Amino acid sequence: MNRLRKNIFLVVSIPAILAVMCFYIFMAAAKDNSVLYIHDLEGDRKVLTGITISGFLEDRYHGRYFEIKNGTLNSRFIYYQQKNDISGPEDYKNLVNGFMHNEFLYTYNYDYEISPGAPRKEIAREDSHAAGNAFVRKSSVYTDSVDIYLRISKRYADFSNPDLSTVYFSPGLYFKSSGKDIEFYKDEYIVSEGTPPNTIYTLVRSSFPAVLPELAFTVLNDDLYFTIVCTKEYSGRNGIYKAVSFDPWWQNSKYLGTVETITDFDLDSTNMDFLGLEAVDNKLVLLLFENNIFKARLYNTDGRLLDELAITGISYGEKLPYCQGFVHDGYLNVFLKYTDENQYNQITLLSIHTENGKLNLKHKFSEISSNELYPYSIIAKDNMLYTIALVKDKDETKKYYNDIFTPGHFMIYAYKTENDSTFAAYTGELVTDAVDDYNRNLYFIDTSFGHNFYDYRQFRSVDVKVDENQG
Amino acid sequence: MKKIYFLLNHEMRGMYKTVTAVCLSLIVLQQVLIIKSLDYYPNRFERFELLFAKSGAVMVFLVCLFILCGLCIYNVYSNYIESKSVYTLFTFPIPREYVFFSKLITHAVCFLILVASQIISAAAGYGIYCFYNSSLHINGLTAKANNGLFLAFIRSDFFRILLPFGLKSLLSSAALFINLVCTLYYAVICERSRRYFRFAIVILNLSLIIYSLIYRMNILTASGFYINVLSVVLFLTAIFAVYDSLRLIKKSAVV
Repeated sequence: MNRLRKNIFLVVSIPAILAVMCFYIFMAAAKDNSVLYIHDLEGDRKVLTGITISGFLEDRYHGRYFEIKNGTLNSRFIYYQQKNDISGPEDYKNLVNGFMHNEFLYTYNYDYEISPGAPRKEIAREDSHAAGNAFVRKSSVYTDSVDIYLRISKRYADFSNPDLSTVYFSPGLYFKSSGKDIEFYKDEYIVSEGTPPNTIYTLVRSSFPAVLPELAFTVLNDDLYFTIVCTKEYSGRNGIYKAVSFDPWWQNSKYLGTVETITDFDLDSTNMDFLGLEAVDNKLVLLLFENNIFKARLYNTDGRLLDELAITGISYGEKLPYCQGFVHDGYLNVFLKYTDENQYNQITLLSIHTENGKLNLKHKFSEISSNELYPYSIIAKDNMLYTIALVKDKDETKKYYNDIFTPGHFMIYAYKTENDSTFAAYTGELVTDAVDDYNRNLYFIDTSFGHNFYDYRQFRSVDVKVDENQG
Repeated sequence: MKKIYFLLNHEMRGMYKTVTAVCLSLIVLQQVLIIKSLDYYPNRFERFELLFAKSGAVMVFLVCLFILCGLCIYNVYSNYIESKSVYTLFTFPIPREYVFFSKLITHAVCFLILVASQIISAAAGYGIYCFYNSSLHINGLTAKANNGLFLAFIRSDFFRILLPFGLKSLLSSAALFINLVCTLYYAVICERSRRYFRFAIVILNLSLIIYSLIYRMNILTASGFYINVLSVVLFLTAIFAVYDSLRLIKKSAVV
């Protein structure tokens, strides 16, 4: 006992040092204890030879970089120590109403105005007072024709500069309702007697009888090109446009910036639904339905039509299919998803190759799925087509509170084309234990302090490359 | 070496009972809080790191840390005021800096014992959490997470500061730890030697510690790359505190 007291420093310090050492030994051993393996569901994994799939499975505290090369999985643990260690925040690929190129973020929105000369029917609503005690005279205006104006805002993606440059223009697109009246809220702000009121019209979206337009962006040689995604119910003009210059948003004029029309179409004399625009091989590919047939049209930047490819067997209903394009090495791979009335997803994968001003359909695969599929990448190589996607099982979604709080599955699909027919060659899943992160949502969801997706491990910066040596 | 080892044992004999009591209290109290939190059924589905934070276990650690800081200060003062043993020590044929470093190392080891207790407490708490969760099934899914303890240490802001797993963070935490130990002792030496202007350095060091803690807590959301700069500054100010303490002790300015 006396000996212990004499060496009390060692008696207390050695266990403490050992405990800390054991902790770090445990951490070093446990860092690779996570579940991460490829589960082959269908076909032979050998079809993955010649491609490399890479990405991060990460939350905001740590990540696991993985690489599947020729079907072999390798991964390494990364402990995040500062913000720029996280791969995700730079991952602006699938913005709902935006597009990122270099350091700039482009976002769009539409303004809706009652067409000049269109019939108007005004019904008064209850008046009120606004801030500054301005009197607000409120009414509803009903009309049957609406003009559509587009605004594209450009800003630094890292929010480092408040400069907000804008393009605001009218492509000449309008919507004319044949039956139901379209309602606008009209608010007249009257500050004092004798001064003209400031009148603001706001479209009541629920009264709009068609699907509201969206925008498809693409960048070619650092220039921004776009087309308005709209159905054949719209009238006037639509086309391919180039944003030549942007103006400061506070400039005192209705139209801002300069827009060059590459090509445009008279919607009244055609039957066209515009789906998307992609830049491939220094040219522009416009994706559309013409007379209900899916078409890809190849244009040069002067607006000259170089080639047109019609693809049959792609159906859609009142809404246009969701369209996402992936471009690599002269290939445009298109993902089309349309949800039918039975809530089944009709999925079509297309691979179009551009060479010498000609479009060739290399792969076409269609299937009906009950699952939600969100593609990270689609890549074509010889007679193979690969799709890497996050899949959310609808049955699994029922176990959780909602779709957002449901974990997804990282799926690898390979398709083979022989004799003009494309069929599934391989299906595999990169199985992880990231699903455990969602366990806290099994019983209840506490969002009282908000919800941060980065508290959950997610796949980020997923990339697929063709191995040139084996290609 | 024998002399300094003798001094280390001498210092530790005066502190180990209280330190042991504080560390045992930490372990017991945290387990009680975790068990109480698990009594609330939805918490059983919560991740361990979030349950640990929600239970108030982090507050228990902070209270114990402050008690330990107080104990270190009391340990130095008691040598000067109660037993006046420091004057006896200074008469020994040993360099004065040996006395200084023996106290400093003893204080550092006390803090290390607290950290070790926190590791043991977290592991024990995770065992309790797993025991409660082992039978939990909902919609055919189990609530227990794979590699949960490791993930808890990685994902908890508290554990990321206390026991970081990356070199930059580890250096930062070591700098914080060393600076705290040195500053506490330096503050007492400044007071005993009546060098009140030097409290500016103490305040600077404490401010740097607080700033570093805030920075570390927000490091994954805030921009900037100051972690290494802060670590260097913390090390430098700690070295200055040690240098100035030794200067004051050698000058016999401490009364």
